[in-house]
Amino acid sequence: MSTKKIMAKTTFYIIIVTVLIAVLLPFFFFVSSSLYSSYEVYQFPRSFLPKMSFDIMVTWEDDMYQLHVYDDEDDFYELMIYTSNIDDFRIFLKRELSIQLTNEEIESDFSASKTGGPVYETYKKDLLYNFKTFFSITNNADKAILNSVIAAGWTILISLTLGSMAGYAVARYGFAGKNKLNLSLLLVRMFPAVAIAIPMLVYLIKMGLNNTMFGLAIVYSVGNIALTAWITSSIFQGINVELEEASVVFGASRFQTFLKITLPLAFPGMVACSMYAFLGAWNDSITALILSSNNPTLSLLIYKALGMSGTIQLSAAGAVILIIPALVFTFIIKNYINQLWGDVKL
Amino acid sequence: MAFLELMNLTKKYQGKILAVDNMSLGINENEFLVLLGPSGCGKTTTMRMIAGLEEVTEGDIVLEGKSIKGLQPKNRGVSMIFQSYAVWPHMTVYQNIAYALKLRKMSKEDIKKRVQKAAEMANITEYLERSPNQLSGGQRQRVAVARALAVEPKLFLMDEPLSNLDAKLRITMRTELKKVHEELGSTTIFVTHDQSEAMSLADRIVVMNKGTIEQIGTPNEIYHNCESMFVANFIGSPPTNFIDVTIELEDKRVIAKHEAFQFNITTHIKETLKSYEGKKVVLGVRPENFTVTDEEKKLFKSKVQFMEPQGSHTIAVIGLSGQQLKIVSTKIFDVKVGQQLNIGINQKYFFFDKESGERIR
Amino acid sequence: MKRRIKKWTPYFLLAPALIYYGFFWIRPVIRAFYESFTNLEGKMSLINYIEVLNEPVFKEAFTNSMLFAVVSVILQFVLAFMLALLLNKKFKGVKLLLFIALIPMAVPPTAVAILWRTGFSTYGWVNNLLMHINLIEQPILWMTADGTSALMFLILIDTWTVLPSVMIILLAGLQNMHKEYEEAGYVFGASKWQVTKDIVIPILKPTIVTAVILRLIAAMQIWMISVMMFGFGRVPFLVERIAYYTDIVPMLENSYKMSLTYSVVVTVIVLTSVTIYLKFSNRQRRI
Repeated sequence: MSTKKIMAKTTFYIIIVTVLIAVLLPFFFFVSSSLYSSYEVYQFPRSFLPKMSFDIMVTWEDDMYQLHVYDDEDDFYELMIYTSNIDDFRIFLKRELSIQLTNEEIESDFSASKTGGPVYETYKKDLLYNFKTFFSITNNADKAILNSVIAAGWTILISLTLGSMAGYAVARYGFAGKNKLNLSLLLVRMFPAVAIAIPMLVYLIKMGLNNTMFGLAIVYSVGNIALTAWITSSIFQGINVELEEASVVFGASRFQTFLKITLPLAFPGMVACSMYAFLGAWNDSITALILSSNNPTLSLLIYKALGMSGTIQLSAAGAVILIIPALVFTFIIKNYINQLWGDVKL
Repeated sequence: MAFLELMNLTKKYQGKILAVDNMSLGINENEFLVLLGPSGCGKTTTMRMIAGLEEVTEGDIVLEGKSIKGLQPKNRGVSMIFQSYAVWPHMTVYQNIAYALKLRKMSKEDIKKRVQKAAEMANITEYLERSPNQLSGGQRQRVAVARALAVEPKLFLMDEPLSNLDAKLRITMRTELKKVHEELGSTTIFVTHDQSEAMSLADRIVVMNKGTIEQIGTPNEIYHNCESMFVANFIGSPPTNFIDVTIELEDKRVIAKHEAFQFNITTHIKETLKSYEGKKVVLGVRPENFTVTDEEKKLFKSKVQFMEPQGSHTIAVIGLSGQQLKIVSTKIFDVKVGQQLNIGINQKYFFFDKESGERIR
Repeated sequence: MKRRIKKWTPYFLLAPALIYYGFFWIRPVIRAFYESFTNLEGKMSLINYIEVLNEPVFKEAFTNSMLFAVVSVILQFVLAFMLALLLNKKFKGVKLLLFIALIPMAVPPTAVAILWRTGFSTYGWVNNLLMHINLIEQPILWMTADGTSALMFLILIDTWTVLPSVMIILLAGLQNMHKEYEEAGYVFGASKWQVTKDIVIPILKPTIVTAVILRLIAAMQIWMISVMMFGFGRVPFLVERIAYYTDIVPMLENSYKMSLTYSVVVTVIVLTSVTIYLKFSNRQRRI
């Protein structure tokens, strides 16, 4: 192999590795952050993987339990608290180390230290502690997830219906102003979405749709109808007109043809396209803040939670939940890139 | 050594799919060589390896005594006409033709002269300032030809250049390509799946199948002297009729026997056929080598199943023990379906080995 | 009769979307314009614009938005194009690589912010990693960055997030482009670089314009990451001001008008930038 070829191959692999590191590394550390206990967050430097369990040593001095946690970086037992109150003991284990024990278990495990010297125990950490806590302190997190799904559902329905009708018109018919349409669809995105929400609040209140997911979806759809129209027109252009013409020749009406021929062919692409609408709704927090602050979506909840809590690992837990649809999205959309964006032109 | 030599050329995709299999071929200077075969036979892959668009898995390509394997396409001194023409849509016709010359750092005046000359040969002087999307398919094809001419290459490669044109234009362009070749005497490799195109253009035809060469020869050799059942079937329209017969020896005579007929083999291959005694071989007869004859000279009688009039000749589909045969005749024009014909056979038949499909000589 | 129906079909199909926009886009926009040009008593006035322009933070927000847009769009286009060229090749695992490369585009801004805050806080995983591989001795105080370095910081984070969305548009363009255009370039003597510059980019131009404009519009409206990373006011942007007046000080007498005035200002700026870009790219021939 020539030097030139080796150079090219090397650059090729360097780029690939860079891409992998740039995406996967942050994700890895981020997910592992959501699994840290408070104690681990303030340890520094710490191991890359969250601990699965803690080694604990308890001694009895001055009529108090002395709780030590093993620090593997420096190889010694660090004194964390001393208390005679079992409740304090239990709460510390839970809040700082994500270990869930009852008072009785603590008593029976450690009372031996009063007479027989130090007691050593290893406890399994509750890995999902942050996730559970996130749901319990933000008292309506499950409602918020449901809200997010409903809002996204309405947004998909509205933007896909209206957008694909417009997209089909662009792809199949000639009409006055067709050339300008694509550019004017862009105009819609130029006015800040936040700024639409502010005057819309008045209208939504009049219609009794404030604090409802349908009301939110109306605003989310504004940006998405335009995008959907663009993308679906690209999808329809990718479907051979002759397939439709054949159906018309064999006696179907234009509408039947659309339902029976065009739609099934366009369906996978439209599903992929609807992911944009889904994400538009799922990812937003500011519009929801303005229009539905009393009935928050998940994204809004996390936005608020980040502002109030100092415990970043809790927000991380919330954000991990928020990211899951992102993975589904990219998994679906990677196969439809050409169909979606292939014929999109200004 | 030939002008261009392909030596044991092999192409595997993803390490396993064999597209071209150990192919060796020499191409002479000034020759017009056609690679002919069904889709997937490896003809385009072979051409793309010569152009440098496809990496060679094994073997070598030698142009004028020097290996060009591993060279960038630009350093090979070839030019190519693509199936889709690949006339760059963002450049005018002039820019399209001049681009390669600019890359060769030629002076402006030289470029102008060359473009002018190439455009004249391809008959597109009046379109030079147009954009390709204002041109018809045929005109774009001419631009592609002019672009290939302008670089004055050692070797012209043409990848099914006529297949996107309508039937009439295809024949006009065919003639023009031939004219250009005769004027310049340029060495040309032309890929096609269209046998009449191959026949009319080629000095020699290379028939390919499944990545290997089936036969190399002049158009006449390929047609009249097929080396395999594949070639006999692929070349000729309608294709060669194949009939299974058994070889029998009686006294000194060698007889081809079929349930409906038998005949005495008198040509020189009867010696070779003796070793096939009692075995089945395949008799190949081109449609025009059946004769419609009288009661006496007939080999067998058959009913006409369909008639396909072609104007200058007629194709008749006849039955023979459950098999359909196609015969071509310039004599019968008013035969009705269902009519009985007396069929004879002339001496231009082939025998093929039933197992290998190879010609028995 | 039939023919007349046919003639009107496209308008029937377009009508729902257009009516929707009439109600839910044009109406709020007109409202915003109206509010921005009237004072608190409802009389025609330029007072809101005077106040916006006189806000000490306006100039900074304007410069930041412009700087962010220009730098991030150029950076993202170049990187996305390179990535698209790479992913347009055929090699083992390209689909998987595509999947991984696409992930960031779908991550909500809130999550992006949290992801990078867990990273760049003093005891976050970035410092942790750097110390583990012995690149640094002491944690770096990333989050204290301000001014230009904070802006660059945000550009990098934004690039991480939106690079794939630019990339897929370019990739689709590359894959839809007839392969033989490139191959003809190679055969007629061009190097890889010359083929990219003289053939691929010009043919891809409509796609490139699309991708850049979509990006430009979004980049000029950046605000969320800034707020989530640094809080309000540290690195001000134009749209960040809108959010500021809506989220943080909604109770001021003129908050409503201030945020709508900012919206109009943003729209005008974005529209002007897009027009300039379109003029600049001069959209020669449509292919």
